[in-house]
Amino acid sequence: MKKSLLLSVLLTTSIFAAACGGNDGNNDADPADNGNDANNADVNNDENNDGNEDNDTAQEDAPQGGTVTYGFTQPFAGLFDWAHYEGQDDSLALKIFNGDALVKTGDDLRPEPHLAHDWEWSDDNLTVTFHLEEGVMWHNGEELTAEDFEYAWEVIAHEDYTGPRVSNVNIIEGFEEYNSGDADSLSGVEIEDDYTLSVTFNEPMPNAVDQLWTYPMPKAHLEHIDVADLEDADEIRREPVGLGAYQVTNIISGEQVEFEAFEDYWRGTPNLDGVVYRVIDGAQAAELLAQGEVDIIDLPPSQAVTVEGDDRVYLEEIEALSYSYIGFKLGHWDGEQNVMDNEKFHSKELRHAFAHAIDRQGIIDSFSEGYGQVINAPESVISWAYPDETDLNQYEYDPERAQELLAEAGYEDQTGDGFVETPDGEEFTVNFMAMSGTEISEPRAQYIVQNLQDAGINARLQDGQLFEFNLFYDLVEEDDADIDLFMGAWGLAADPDPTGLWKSDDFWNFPRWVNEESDELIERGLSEEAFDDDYRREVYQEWHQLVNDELPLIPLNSPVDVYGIASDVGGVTVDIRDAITDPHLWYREQ
Amino acid sequence: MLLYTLRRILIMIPIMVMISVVVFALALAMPGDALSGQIDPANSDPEYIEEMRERLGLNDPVHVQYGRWMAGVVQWDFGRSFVHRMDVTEVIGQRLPNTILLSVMSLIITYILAFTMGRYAGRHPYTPGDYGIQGINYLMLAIPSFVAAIFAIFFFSFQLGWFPATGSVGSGVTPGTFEYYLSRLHHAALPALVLGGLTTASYTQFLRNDIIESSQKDYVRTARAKGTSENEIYNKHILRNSIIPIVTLFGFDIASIIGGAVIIETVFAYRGIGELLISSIDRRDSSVVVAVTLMLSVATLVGNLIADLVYGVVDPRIRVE
Repeated sequence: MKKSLLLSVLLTTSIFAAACGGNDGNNDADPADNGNDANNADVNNDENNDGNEDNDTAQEDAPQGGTVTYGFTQPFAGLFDWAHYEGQDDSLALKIFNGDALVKTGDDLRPEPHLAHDWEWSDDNLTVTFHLEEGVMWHNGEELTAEDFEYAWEVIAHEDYTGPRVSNVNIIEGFEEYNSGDADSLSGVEIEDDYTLSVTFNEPMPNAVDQLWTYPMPKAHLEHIDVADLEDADEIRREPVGLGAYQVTNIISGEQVEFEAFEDYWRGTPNLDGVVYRVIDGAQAAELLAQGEVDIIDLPPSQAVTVEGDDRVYLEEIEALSYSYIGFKLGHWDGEQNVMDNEKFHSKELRHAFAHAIDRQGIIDSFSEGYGQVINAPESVISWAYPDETDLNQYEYDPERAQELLAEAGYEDQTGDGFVETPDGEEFTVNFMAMSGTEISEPRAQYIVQNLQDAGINARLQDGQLFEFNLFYDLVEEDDADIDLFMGAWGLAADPDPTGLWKSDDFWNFPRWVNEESDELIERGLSEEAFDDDYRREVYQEWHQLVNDELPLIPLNSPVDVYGIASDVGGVTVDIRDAITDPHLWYREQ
Repeated sequence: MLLYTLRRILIMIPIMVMISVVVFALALAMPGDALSGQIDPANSDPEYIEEMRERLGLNDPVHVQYGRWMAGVVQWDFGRSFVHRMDVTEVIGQRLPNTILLSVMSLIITYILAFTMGRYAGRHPYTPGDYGIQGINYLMLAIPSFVAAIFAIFFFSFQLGWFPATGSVGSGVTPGTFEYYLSRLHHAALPALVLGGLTTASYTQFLRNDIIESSQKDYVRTARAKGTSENEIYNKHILRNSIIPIVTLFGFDIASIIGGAVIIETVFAYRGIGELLISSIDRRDSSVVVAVTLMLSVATLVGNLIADLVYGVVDPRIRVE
């Protein structure tokens, strides 16, 4: 059900490399901090003897022991490998036992050092050299080396590879040769020593590190398996090996995974004895949290309000990396590219009128309990590329302004039925298409239809009903002739590049909006000049202003995710994707 | 009898073929497929999805897909789950023990409840006790199972804390140990109680009515006249005859229990076949949907067959040639 609010776009490396925003202070190896470490070592934990130099278990006086249960509401598939997993059901478990990647995504969604403590670009912007942390151990006792990264890339680049991550690896030089079997290895990957490796890309890309696959695979554990058989292998499904703070001890298919603390974790021994990842019924999430059956869980706003003020629970909020929108169908997909041939919404004033007619703040207040923020650009508000709002049209809710704009565009009520007609005097009706799936879907869709009718637009729900997720996107994809307006949502990657959703030859450009200037700006955002951050930011600012003015879709809001956490559990940092950032810092009051 | 059995089994074959056609056609008629949810501009481009559709054979004509699928089924190959990335037989195999445990427990609960209540009500008809039992039964029959399940969770798990609210096994137990099996029973108890409790009504009423009817039969009067004790009359003479209709119900019940489990398992987040069916429909994992539906249809057919056969065994009058 949850999925229906978004297309499940949650899978890019850059995102999951994400993990670790918000603990910067802990990672700084500043001397004061280290002193602190030493002082508290004995108070803390006598097992903490692994000699890990940059031990950053910051909460030195955090209570030790206990277990914490992380809840999720859909059964997991059980494909516990980054290169092969499909959805968040598996990625949450993966984050707990294997959440560390080459880089992590910082607060402003830029890559920051993680397993690679440092990296540098070559002068031609084609090659990047990573320097790895030393002494990082896999759960099977092997040390992490550069080969584990090379192995991961070669698995994904292999012709027998069955997962969907190829686009994160095909940017590496030599991909074609290796994929077709003409070469034995990726020529773009060079291992200098165990802790240094360099990657050469096919072409210079400012977002190459975001785009690159950053999760290592335990080569010694998996090497003997054919790439085609990896997704079936017990080494992944039953005895997965990671390098995270906890190691897998028991997997009950689709239901729960149990983990125990991994004492040799490279960032310090975890506070907890273990973690349980447990699947529960979503409708009871808040109550189960209050009852202590789960300790950390993502709550829908409608449930979050029921436990506000409950002293067994506290809530943490974070802006989600996604946005919802109402799109105009402006054309169709001809198999190769978008063709903007639907005359119905060609008038820009008309589209602006729609935006003014819809009470976007009202939608958030009425249906998301206020959790969310109105946006005027199709980007998450937390992204560094979210444009300066002062340069954007605000489209505040104003039915009168909407009527003025309709009149300017030539849409006036000629028959006296309260609804406007087209400039040619024909009846103007608008189908609004929305997804079903949650208890608020129907009233929210009605609310929007009512908003439009209040402004004099004869809107109605398409076929008088809502559409189930799959059917909805089937119809949107094939540009069903009945669709005028459709309400969808996108999850985003950390990197703000709009390619894939916005260019004239992008299939997922659902409004079928074609604009040369937009295409050109998107390309400039990936050009070599864009290695300069300020330049890239300006390009995206300009692009957002263009979209904001042309308005092929009306951005609605950037939602807020709410996590409920048991009040005796601490050290939890919520992040854009989940609350599993630095799980080794979690602790439980005894 | 043997001939009858064989004939019944032979008739099942065309029925199953027809069921498989319908089930397969319906599964394909669902809008979307396992790939429609996978749109990810940063990751998988339209070509990847198209390529996967081609590789999975989703673009072939329906009859070709059906033929390929049927050829697999007769070799006990139900295809691969796209969501779980596993053979369907293995996915189902992982869940089946849970559902069987749940069904058996709920059947036992149904029998115990129905037997006690039905016997009492039949022996003391038209008394306050009988009316009370009838009232409770009709109430339970009327409550939708998901409502009952939520109430049970609220009351027994949250308020009283007797049973866990979700899952099929607790954390921190090692598979194979005594605690492990105890934990599984403990987790299955509440859903089984709800599932079993709600189907009790028909059993109880059948038993009650039959006992009342039998108690006015001639042979009972004879037994009474001979001075046989009331206890012996009810427990020996009447009960044996009255159990016959219940035996028939057992066969049909296999289907209704699995049907009920679909809802109960979802509410309790109990990983069984029913929950698998719902989540697979949700995610358009059609190979799993088709396999599970087919399995449930077969279970129903076999249940009916068993009911007919057992009927003949317990009641010689109905034996068919």
